[in-house]
Amino acid sequence: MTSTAFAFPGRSIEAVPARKRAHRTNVPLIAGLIMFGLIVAAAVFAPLLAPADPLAQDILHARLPPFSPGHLFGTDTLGRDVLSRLLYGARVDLRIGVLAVITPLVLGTVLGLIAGWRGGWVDTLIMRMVDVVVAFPFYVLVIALVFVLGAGTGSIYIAITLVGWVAYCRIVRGQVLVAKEQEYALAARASGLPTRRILFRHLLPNVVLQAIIFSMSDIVLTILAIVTLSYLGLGVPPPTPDWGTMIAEGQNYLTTQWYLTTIPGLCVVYVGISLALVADGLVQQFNRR
Amino acid sequence: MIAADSAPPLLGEAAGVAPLLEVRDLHVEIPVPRGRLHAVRGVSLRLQPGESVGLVGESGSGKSITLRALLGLLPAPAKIVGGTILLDGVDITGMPRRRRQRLLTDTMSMVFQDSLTALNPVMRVGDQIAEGPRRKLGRPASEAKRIALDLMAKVGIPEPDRRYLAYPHQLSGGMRQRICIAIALSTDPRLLLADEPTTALDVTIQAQVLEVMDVLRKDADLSMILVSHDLAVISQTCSRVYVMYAGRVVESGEIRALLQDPRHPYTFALLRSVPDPDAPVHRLLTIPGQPPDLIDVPRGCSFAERCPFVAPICVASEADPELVVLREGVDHASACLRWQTADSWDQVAAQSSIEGPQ
Amino acid sequence: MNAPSTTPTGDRTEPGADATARVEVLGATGLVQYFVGSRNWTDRLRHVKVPVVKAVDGVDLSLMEGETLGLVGESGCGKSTLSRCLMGLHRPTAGEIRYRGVPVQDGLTPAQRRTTQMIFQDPYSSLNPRMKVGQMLGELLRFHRVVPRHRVDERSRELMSLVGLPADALGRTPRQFSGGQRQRIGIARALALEPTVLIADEAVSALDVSVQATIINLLLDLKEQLGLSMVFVSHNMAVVRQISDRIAVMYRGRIVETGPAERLFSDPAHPYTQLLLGSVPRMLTSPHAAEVEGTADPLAVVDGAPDADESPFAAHLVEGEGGGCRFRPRCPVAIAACAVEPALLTLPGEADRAAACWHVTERSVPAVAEPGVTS
Ligand SMILES: Nc1ncnc2c1ncn2[C@@H]1O[C@H](COP(=O)(O)OP(=O)(O)OP(=O)(O)O)[C@@H](O)[C@H]1O
Ligand SMILES: Nc1ncnc2c1ncn2[C@@H]1O[C@H](COP(=O)(O)OP(=O)(O)OP(=O)(O)O)[C@@H](O)[C@H]1O
Ligand SMILES: [Mg+2]
Ligand SMILES: [Mg+2]
Repeated sequence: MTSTAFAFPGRSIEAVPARKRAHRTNVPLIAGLIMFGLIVAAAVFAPLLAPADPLAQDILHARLPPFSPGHLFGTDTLGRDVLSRLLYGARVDLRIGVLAVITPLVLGTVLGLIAGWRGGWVDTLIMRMVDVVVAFPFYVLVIALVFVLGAGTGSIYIAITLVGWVAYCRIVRGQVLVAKEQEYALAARASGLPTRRILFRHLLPNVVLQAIIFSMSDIVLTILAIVTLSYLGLGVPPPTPDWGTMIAEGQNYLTTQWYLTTIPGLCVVYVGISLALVADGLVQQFNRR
Repeated sequence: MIAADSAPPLLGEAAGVAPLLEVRDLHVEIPVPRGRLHAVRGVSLRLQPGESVGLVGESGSGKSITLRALLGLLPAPAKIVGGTILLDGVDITGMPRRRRQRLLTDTMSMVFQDSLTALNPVMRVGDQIAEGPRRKLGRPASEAKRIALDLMAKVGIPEPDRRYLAYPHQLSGGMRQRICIAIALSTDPRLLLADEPTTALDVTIQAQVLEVMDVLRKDADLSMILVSHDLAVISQTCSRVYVMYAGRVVESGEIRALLQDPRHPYTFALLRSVPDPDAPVHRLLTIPGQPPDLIDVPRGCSFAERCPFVAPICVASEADPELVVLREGVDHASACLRWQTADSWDQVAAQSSIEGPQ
Repeated sequence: MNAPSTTPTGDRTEPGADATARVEVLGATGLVQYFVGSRNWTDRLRHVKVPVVKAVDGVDLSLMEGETLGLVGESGCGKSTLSRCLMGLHRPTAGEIRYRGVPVQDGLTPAQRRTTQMIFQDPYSSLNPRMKVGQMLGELLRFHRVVPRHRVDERSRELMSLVGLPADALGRTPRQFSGGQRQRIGIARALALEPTVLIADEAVSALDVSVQATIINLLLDLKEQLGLSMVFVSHNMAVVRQISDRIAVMYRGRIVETGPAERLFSDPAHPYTQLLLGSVPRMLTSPHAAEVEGTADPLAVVDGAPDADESPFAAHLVEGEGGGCRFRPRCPVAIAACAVEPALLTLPGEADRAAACWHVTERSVPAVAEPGVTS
């Protein structure tokens, strides 16, 4: 029964400043935000950063490999500067990616809140609508909608919103069903607050986390959806640079000009990783409080 | 900042038996925006196999944090910053994390104070009980279910077959608490850390549950640390008791001696606040004032500010007074510098009514 | 809100006498709350019956102005469900709830909500984990305009000190408190709206006895000064006895005995009440401790019964479906008449007491109608 009196390794109380331990830095969140911030900044400042006009064709200097003089990432089959197109493409893709996720996030969350809270026929109605949307494969529905509405960014927003909200609705509804049995929801009702306030001020902060985390991966999925749509000729109309179109165009030259598909592809992956880090960080942040 | 080992010596115990659990000078801190909240400030405990000890004290005095520290399950930012924990005489504090955690969870289980939040809201309660036997003891599913039903019946849940399928929110507060007790008992622990396990139970069910624990104590040498505010329950269940105030043990000892002859003003005042089920009074006695701020602990005895018997000596030194054994060979220790004056406390209190202005 | 400690207690010992003269603030008649379980399709295929939990099964209750009604009973007998029904948080299966004589139609009105508050049983799940205490109190004070806007912070601090918490508690989230501290936050939240009716569901169960005494004294002060009416649910008989004017004992969804606190405690009429009071744990040092271990308790009778191989506490033996008196399967004094469930029968000679037991008719009229405080 021998023991040293103080065996805990982290014993030196005075050694660690209190502040530092109280708010231990949330590494994934910060890393993710920095990564995502960089690419957003690149998109915002594309006119300043881009070495060339993304639309300017120069057949003489077509298909230059990366690290050619004046063209860091080379040029595509029409001689357009890949780097410039990437930067301008980021503007298009991030905007669509983020906007096309925010609307379904808001719509799905609100409907999910109402369905879960009210129950009864409201719930049944909303969930039937969800079932209808879910019955079709995601792409089939999006493609059909874009086809009907006509290609273009506006149609993409609408199509993705109409299809995307169901995921959020289901996530939030499930969370509300659990949360509304908690006594704090009852307590909020008992204190005579109006339903709207209870839903948005008391329940929402407790149920929205899952939805926000899902939206992080959803942004990437949306960008991929644009890629697919562009590939099918239903996406962003051709001269406008966007990563999807770039990947689609480059695919024919995969064996010779591999970088034409790989570099935009890596951009998508980069955004994916940065948002996954943000999602991880958010979980940490919320669970700590 | 931390005094030398202040564990009271072994008293009234068979010298041969090694204590199942021994805690020496445990310190827990919680980083908060304003600084570090020193929630547990040098707690020492000792527990023999098959023994039940009580842990009572002021609300917010660190009882739950102490238990969670023992099990290695402190809430997020809280950290053990000092002290030793011996399990079966083996120092576990130096062990690698994973091994320590295995050993701890194999030996003890805990009934958490927050019975509803400790349960998974989307899992049937029966399955939650059966999970322990299946995962930890490796029992087949059917046997685990039988164990679960058996335990549910033992802790007095009516119609266990039906309740097995219920979700936590469909049960009453007391039933959930009993589910938590059943979960804790399902893995055959040797030590049960019970944090207010019977607050939501009526007295008849409480008696039944305590009876189950007592039988386990006698038959299976189950030891128990029982946190409760019900001193009557403690007095009927435990052989020894520790009284906590502001993160420290201020008095400890054999239950009867401590209840009859408290030697710390906090215990003294606490006992006077106990409502008697047989004789209601006009007004209950309280302890005026609030416990000290644990982020910035005042100098001297931390009870001094609220103590009706305070003297200059109480705040003369920087640190809190140590727990000292009152009489050699008797299991009773107090952290009051003026414990010898205890005989006169009754009169002093009677004159200057302990009750506050509220 | 400090009470001058010289205030007389008023009629705490014998409130039943003038209770009828007072106004009923909250009442229920024939209140029923069933929970119907759900069946999934496999259950339907196998023709499993829909499980029905009869949480509240026909309760009549009335709370008078300025009165404290102690509600006690077995764990799971429906006390919390009844409290929630009274708060309008459940839609009752049947029966009527009245606020100051007016039947409640479709949930409470905002005004009724404000004047009726509840302290919830579970101090952990009843506080919103994502709201700071100050936000929570501030929202209520502002929304209901309890105090002018500029006084909201001040009032929040007052409420904290009222329940014995430091003012800096306002800036913390519920997770950063101990169980008892959370419970006091729940109490502060209920008191923030300055209710006239308070339903306290196990409001002091997580508090140490000295803080508990502070809170009980506070509630008694509020009752005296503001005429607060209260339904006080608790398992702690000593506390119930201390705070209540009248007691209602519940068993399996029904009230089985009611009466003024003093007489009910000193001379319980229903066998379940006897069982309950007999099992109250006493301190080892209490002069009454020996009495409990002796033969004075009603359980001794059960020990002699033929099915005494199980613990007399074995509530799980009881299946509610037999018909007749719901306590019959556990009752040590069951007779043939118990095959029919008795209604609440008035005790002979004590008009303000009633018990749902056929044996009450055999009781002798108490010699002194006003036993007063015992011991
Ligand atoms: N997560 C946390 N963050 C900050 N402070 C905390 C946290 N958890 C507990 N505390 C503080 O630590 C102290 C001890 O808490 P603990 O839960 O151990 O009290 P307790 O003795 O169990 O009280 P009770 O009888 O009320 O349950 C309290 O003052 C509390 O405010
Ligand atoms: N939402 C629900 N769905 C199904 N059954 C429920 C629900 N809420 C409560 N019950 C059941 O109703 C009965 C009464 O529960 P209630 O919470 O009112 O008991 P209680 O008297 O407050 O008990 P305790 O003292 O243990 O808190 C229990 O059998 C419980 O399982
Ligand atoms: Mg605790
Ligand atoms: Mg309850």
